Amino acid sequence: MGKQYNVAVVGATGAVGREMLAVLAERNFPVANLRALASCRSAGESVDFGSKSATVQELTPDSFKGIDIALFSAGAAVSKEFAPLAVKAGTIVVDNSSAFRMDTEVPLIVPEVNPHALKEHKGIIANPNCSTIQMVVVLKPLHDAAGIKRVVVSTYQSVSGTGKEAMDELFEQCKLIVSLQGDRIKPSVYPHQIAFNCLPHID
Amino acid sequence: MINETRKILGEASLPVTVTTVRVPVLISHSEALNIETEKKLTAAEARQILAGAPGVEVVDDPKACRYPLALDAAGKDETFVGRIREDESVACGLNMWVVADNLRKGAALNAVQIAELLVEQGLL
Repeated sequence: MGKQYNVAVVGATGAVGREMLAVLAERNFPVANLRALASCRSAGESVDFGSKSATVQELTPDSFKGIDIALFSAGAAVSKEFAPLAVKAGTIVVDNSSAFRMDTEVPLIVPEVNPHALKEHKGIIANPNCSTIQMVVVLKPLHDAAGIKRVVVSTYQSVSGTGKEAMDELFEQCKLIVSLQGDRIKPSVYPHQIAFNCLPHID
Repeated sequence: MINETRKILGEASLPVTVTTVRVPVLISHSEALNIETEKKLTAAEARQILAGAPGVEVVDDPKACRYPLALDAAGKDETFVGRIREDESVACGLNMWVVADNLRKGAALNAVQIAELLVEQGLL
């Protein structure tokens, strides 16, 4: 059996964190011990890890002792505060937030596109924006074959990119509309109604 | 998205322009992509190149109503591309429609693939 690693997932109760746990299990990543980390609000909750489950622990500056690799998806503020602490503890960080993406010291990696850039890492590796990833996977082979001069793109992005609360908001607004109570819709996650609409502004 | 694309492709001055729109879809992002290239590619050549690209699946048979759909991409690992057409308004241009599960390839899967790459390259 090959080497196994102690893995932490930061933001383990979020939409992406839960997906990270599912993907780690599905792909049989060699996990020795798993540490599911989140804010104190979620500490004590149980999250699925394949056929097993893990109890969520509160994220603290000491959370990374003995952790080989940590996958972060808890927003840029959490990454800015805790990723450097993790690196100090000897952990390699893969960060899904925007915190370090444009940092010249941090490689921004899509494995199909620029795997060679990974070796330049100094402890933190950034995961690109979701819309960027799917675009560059397609651009790269065409660029290699024909040299891309210009890119014009329009995105049609789903609400799960915003988070679970946005998925709930879309559901709730649809329910009000089909029960002829559309006038009771009060947008909270987005500045305008998202159901039966398109919002041409994403941060 | 503009600066990230330039950084990943290693093309610091590549002209990229983006309009981002939130639509009432639960999972998967779709993109209408137009590119201009140095060398002419026919739609058939582009289709062939993309069919051999890692992580990409071509779904492009409009006569049979087959093209990438957000609902079909949800829960999948691949980036789906279809509606590949030559852009007749320029000498060397292509249009296409690109769809992927934003929680998987757009986030969790890509992060785990980076972890796998660290193991493969002996960096972990």
